[in-house]
Amino acid sequence: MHSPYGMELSGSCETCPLRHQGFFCNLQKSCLKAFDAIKFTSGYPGGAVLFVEGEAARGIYVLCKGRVKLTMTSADGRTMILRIVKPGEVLGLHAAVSGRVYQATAETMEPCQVNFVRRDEFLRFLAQNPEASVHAAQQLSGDYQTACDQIRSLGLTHNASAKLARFLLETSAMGKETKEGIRVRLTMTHEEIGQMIGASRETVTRTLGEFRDRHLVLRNGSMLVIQDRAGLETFAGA
Amino acid sequence: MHPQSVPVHVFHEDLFRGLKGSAGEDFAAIETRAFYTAGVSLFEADEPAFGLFVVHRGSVAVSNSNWEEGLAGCSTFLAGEVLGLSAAVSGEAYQASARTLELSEIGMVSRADFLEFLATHGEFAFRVVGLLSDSLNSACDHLRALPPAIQA
Repeated sequence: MHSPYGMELSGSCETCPLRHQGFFCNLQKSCLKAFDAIKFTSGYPGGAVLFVEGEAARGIYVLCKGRVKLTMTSADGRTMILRIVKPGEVLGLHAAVSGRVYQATAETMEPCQVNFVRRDEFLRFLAQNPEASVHAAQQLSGDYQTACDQIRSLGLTHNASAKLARFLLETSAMGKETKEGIRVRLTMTHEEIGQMIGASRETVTRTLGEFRDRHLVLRNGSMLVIQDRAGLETFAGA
Repeated sequence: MHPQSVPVHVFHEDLFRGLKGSAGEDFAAIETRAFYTAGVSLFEADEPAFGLFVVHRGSVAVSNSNWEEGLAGCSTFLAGEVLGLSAAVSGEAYQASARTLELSEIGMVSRADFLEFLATHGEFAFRVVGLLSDSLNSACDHLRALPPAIQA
């Protein structure tokens, strides 16, 4: 199956070469087969909006390839990035299960492959496949914990340096140890980092500059190097 | 609720009431019940989740701050309510600390046993998905409503 966005689309979950340790990817064969029968596979370019906050839930979206940004608008109109969704995760799960509106807006950050399942079919699928229900419960719990962490971070940490240091430390968990420090690819703009930690773009730029002057981090294009993890932990209050 | 606290979601619905037939028997087989005097800690915030707790009698206070720092975001769990469900399912750390307020009868189910129970009893797993979904919706509402000064 071909797609106009330079991606090879994989039509079947059972034989998919993109399978991850995600929500549906590691279900048993019979369960995957049932899922295959109700999903629609699509390719999206970067910048496509899958669903909008406040919209009635149509169904769920399983991200197979690419990255998706989940954002929410605060009471005073600011945009907050809830998280960056990685392949294997499901979007719109709690809205589809509860029958309420989507709590966030999902926008692709690069060309993505997405599987969509209609809400009624998904609920039937969950009811008929306990294994899928357990996976759904696990993803919802993980999402809940992430939301609580974000509330704690935004609500209890007023200091922008601490919030940025914590964000960089969390990001570095996906990095690679090198002679210079921990190298990690960070493709987010200062604006997006600000939306994630609850700070303005200017504050992120200034604080990153301070971290660089103290030889805590080095950013070269999309490559971030954590030069002094212990120093960053001191800022984070860890 | 304290404006700067992490929401403590109480599952008011008695999740385990009305478990019929094999589900009821299976749940009874994995649950360990015990009496706790007042002031006993059931779990602490940031501790890796080892299981969930069901209040059968008495009451439990759940707080998302350290006990020494006061009781920001405190909720009281009464008979029939469940504690630590989300952490037990996800396997992450508890988001809050729980302590008995009086002599209480508490049931404890280990994480591994509970996940196995969910996988065996689909109808129950579906109810858990619904409850967790409600919790996440509440957390999102809470996040959206954080005061502007805090987000600046």
